[in-house]
Amino acid sequence: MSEHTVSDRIIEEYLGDLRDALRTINPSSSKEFIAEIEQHISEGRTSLEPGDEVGLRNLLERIGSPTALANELRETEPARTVSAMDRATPWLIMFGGFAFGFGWLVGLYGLWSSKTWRIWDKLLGTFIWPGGLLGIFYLFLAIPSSTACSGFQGAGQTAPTLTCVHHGIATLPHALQLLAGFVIVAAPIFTSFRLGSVLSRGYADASNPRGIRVVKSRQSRTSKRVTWIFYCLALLIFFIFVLTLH
Amino acid sequence: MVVGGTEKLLAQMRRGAIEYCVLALLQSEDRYGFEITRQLSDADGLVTSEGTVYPLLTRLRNDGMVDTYWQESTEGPPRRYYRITTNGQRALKSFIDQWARFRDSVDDILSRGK
Repeated sequence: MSEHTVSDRIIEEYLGDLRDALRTINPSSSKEFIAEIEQHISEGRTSLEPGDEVGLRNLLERIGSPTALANELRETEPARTVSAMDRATPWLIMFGGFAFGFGWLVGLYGLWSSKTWRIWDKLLGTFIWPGGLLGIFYLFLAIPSSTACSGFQGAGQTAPTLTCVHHGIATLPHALQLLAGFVIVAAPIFTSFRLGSVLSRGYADASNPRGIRVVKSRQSRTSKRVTWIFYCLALLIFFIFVLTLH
Repeated sequence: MVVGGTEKLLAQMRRGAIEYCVLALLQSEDRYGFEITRQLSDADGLVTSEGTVYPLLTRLRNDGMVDTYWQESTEGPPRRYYRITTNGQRALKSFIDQWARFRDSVDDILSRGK
């Protein structure tokens, strides 16, 4: 492994830790801050020899530990208050569809007009599933599941010969049908909980005036992976359903 | 070593004063972020870590005390330069007056305790 790669790895590790430490900060602020730090590192590296690992570590040490920087950013950010719309959005995304679909549309507006959620959260809130919990019913209706039988009774036969063809979900094994049903129902609930979790992480309340929450980077990375595995599974099951239509 | 809660108080004082130190640095010429942080961290006891200056720069920009522009650099990536605004100059002038009075008063009181 070359020295240059070692330096890049050290910087990547540092920036990764910084991103984790900033997870509780307003996304637009943390994004800008990380860009500033990246710029600072690039600037500092111009005076270092390629592969100068000690110089690089000194540079990062002068910038400060990710935890200290995150604490400083929290201190300098004005304490935020939670808007009623932001509070209502996760609930509207989940249950709003039952108010003639209108509530979900209001939730969608709240989701996309807010700076609280990142683009991926907004896409998840919109597409898993459109209409929230109500969307599940339409999803099941849209997926035909039927078994069509046809037969004929030949001369001398006492019973007709039946040929049955399964369509849609009925072609899947029972266990997979149950799993698919569970994932489809759980996905929008999970999505709304995620939106609520992002909301509570970054915002202040009476007991926590600056919205400070200690995040252990390893735990947060693991939970992030689990979340994405869950969504990939949900999408996979969804595509299996779509394929079974044909 | 700083005793007890004094550390927190000093951190707050430092944070409040640094903003004006940044404005003072920008009064003579426009500077880029790395340059500002290095100047501040070279001053004794002013900045504990260079990265902590960037949130202050952002706040100064949001408050209209400074504005920024990008400029190509011959030594590396393009640099974001900070420039003091008229509002910033006004705030700095006011701070300098207040600071002189504050410093003199504190020094006077502290010297009486000797």
